[in-house]
Amino acid sequence: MNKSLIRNFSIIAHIDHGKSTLADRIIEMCGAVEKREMKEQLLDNMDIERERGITIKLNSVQLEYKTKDGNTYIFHLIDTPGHVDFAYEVSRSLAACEGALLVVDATQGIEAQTIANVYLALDNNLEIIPVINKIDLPSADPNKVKQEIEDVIGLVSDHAPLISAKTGMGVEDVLEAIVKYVPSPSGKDENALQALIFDSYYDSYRGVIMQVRIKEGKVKVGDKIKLMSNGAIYEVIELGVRRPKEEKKDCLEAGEVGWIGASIKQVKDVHVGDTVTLADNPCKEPLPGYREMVPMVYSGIYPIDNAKYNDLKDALEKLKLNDDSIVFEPETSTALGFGFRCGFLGLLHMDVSEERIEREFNIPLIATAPSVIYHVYLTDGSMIEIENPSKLPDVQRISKIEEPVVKVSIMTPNDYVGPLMELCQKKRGSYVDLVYIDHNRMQLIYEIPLAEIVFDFFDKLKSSTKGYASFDYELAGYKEAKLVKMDILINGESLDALSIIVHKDFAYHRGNYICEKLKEIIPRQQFEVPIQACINNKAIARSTIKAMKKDVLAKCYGGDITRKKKLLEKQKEGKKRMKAVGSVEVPQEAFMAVLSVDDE
Amino acid sequence: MKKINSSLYVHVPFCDHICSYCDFCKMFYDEKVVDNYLGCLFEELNNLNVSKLKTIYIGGGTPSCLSVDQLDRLLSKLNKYLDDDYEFSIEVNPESVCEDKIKLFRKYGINRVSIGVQSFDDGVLKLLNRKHNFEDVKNCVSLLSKYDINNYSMDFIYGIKGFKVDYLDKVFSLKPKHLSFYSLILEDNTLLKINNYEEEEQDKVREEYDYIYNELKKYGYNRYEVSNFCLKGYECKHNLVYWHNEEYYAIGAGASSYVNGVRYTSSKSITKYVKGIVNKEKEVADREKEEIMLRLRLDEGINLNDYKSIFNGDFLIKYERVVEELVSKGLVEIKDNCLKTTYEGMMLLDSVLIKLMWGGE
Repeated sequence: MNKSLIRNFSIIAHIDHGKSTLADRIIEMCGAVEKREMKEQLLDNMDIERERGITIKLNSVQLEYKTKDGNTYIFHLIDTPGHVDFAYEVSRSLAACEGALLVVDATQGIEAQTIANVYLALDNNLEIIPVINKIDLPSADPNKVKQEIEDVIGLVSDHAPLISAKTGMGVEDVLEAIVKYVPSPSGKDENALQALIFDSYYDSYRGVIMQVRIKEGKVKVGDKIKLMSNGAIYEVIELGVRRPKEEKKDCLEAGEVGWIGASIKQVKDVHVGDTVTLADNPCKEPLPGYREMVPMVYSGIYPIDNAKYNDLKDALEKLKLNDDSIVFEPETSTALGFGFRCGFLGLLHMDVSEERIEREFNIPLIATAPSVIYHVYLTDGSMIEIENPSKLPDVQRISKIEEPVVKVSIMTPNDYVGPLMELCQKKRGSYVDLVYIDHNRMQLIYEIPLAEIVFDFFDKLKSSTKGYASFDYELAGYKEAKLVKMDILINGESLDALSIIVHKDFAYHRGNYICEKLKEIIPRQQFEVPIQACINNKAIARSTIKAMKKDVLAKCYGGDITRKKKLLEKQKEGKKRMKAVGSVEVPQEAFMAVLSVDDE
Repeated sequence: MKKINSSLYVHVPFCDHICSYCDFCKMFYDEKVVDNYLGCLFEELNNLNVSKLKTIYIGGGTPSCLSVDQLDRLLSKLNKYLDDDYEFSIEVNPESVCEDKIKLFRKYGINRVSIGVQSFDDGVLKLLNRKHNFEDVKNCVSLLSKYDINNYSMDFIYGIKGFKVDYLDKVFSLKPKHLSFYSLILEDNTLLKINNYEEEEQDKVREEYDYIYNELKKYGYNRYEVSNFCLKGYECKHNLVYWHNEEYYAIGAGASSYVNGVRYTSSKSITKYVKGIVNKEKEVADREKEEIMLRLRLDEGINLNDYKSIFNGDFLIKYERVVEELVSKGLVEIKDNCLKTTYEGMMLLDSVLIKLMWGGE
């Protein structure tokens, strides 16, 4: 294969700036899919992705493009997830490319997340082609956006194609620009095999399928391959490319992007970022940039129906097949029974994973409020990591607690700088910088405890800026803080799953809020139920759920007994979804109450 | 011991106006449609092969909004099925019933009339989109007495936010034999729900119920079912058939029947019904669960001997654990060889039922 005719690229864009639509157009114009087969946003495979308009899992597709001058090029378009939680996966898929399209909405300008991904691409030495999208909209201001790209990122943008991915206008210019500006791959077939794993998924018949970019060398069916991070050896059963349907081939060569199936049953052997080489002719060094992913946010996940514990375990294992970044270990809660403490890359990652378990595996869940990892220094001088508030040692044994702090970068129209600074202060943030981007946009930088981000920062950010601000964060380190554990008692019984670690100065307010919220959420029982928020066994806030006074169908239903019975069955099902805490029936929402937004 | 099915419900889903809380099967009165409807109703009845009936209940809708001629046809037809000792009830609206219609009631043997009063508070009547007032009800009652129909009942609605049942003296002055007090439930697709009318707080609804219960008791009206009260001996026999979990026929759009162990519910579409299309949803009755659900609505409760003879087992052994719990919580009691709810238990009947019906699962 002539390497000079190969182009490998990704698309970088903020949510809603049109990445998937552009991908669809490119696929369509390269004729990989007949127009009638086109489903909107072809690369987004999962329902959740389509619903949320985000891409979580990576996909790649091989395309053929015939340029204006008559040459036929092979394109590999590698999709990237569009969220900060998946920064590492993004960086690996970028590492599989030589170039990237930076799609910017001509009506919106650059967003914080886009910048983060552009820097990831620059770190990987990618050639970046700015593309200004949505120029068909009346409010489009391409010149201003071009200027912004130059000022904020420092990229020359005068050749940026002006397009409308929706109508297809200008998309051909994008294809020509890819040929012209993105370098062809540099690897050689005769070198030892170096293939970068940028994604993997589990197929129940074929085992783990790795998505790879061949950097150097080549790999054939029947080759013995070695995964370099752990030395595991497998025989290649099949390999090929996606166009976008899977096509089997005999061999993948340097510069190509494709898939390899090797009957790998042990998914834990396959890590995104790892290097595949040949067992009998290994490369000297793995490709750079591999690292284990570190979860930032932890949450307890429990099946509502305790009998589904094993199903949940299976579901988590299956999720992990496709998403190595999830970590989990068994955990028990006196209130919730048997479940798992799960670590996620971030909030969205957590949300999406929980939703997938409920939807794809049909296991109704109770998830506890997310927690971060605290460094707890004990009086004996040792340090322990605590990611479950209920596991915090006795206060007498603690000398100090440190919490993770993140550097938050917020892009916002000028008008909202005031409210945002106020929000950051309220979230215990400390000011770092304020950068003027142009006459009406600013970048605000704060250091904020991750626990506050996890709490409700994103909702607050959106509501106080009418959705105009975007934000991104990275871990900045650990800092000491006056933190205490707050327990919630329902009818005198402590609910371990509701315990939270909270800043001392905020404890009273938060405690009060949680008590009131629980009073709303927990339905009346046959007796009065007190709710208390306690620190060191001392109540700092309380509320009371009144006893149920009337619970009877006192309506005229005539002879419609079936309906009457159905109403009762519905009530019964509702009760089934509750957890019995002592003699109190607690609905699952209660376990998220500690998380909900306080509406002062 | 199988009882012979000797009850019939007849649904007349026509109204002169639509009440804001109603989610029953109904439509505006239209002479032609009603004529067709009656035709289909008679056909459905003929196909049932009914011989003699102990109770017939004509409900709605507003059966009294039919024309004199239509009522004549309906009542004369049904009259043929009456057994020697019978209860023949009809629901009426105070403003749509006139002397001519009451004469027909008399002629065809109607011996129980249920008047949809709902309230004597003009504000409530307006809210519920009812078109009558106290005087109309009074007139209706005196006409019924004139034709010797002394067994009449009145329906009321309580638990309406912003209002109070403060007119019981007026109710008593009309000397009904039977009273039903239903709590307002905001059902989907009703005007109240659509207009976002707020539900009354639980504590207030309960307070109002307690008040009604006690006042009625003072005047000799004893509760025999969650929402039903009467002077001694005036329980509605037809409704007791439901609550005793006995079988009954039903005809008309949206009507529910219970025949040979199967519960049927006809489709609510009146337009389809008058074209002769009757779709019935079927469900095999879960006799034991339904027995518990229905019998406990009655103050008399579940007779443990009857239970034994029907289900071949000892209730107290089968439900030992749940009964024990409910007794200890003061929600049920065993008295005169019956399992009955306490006053509090009746108020929390749904939770009691869920425990008994599914507590063992």
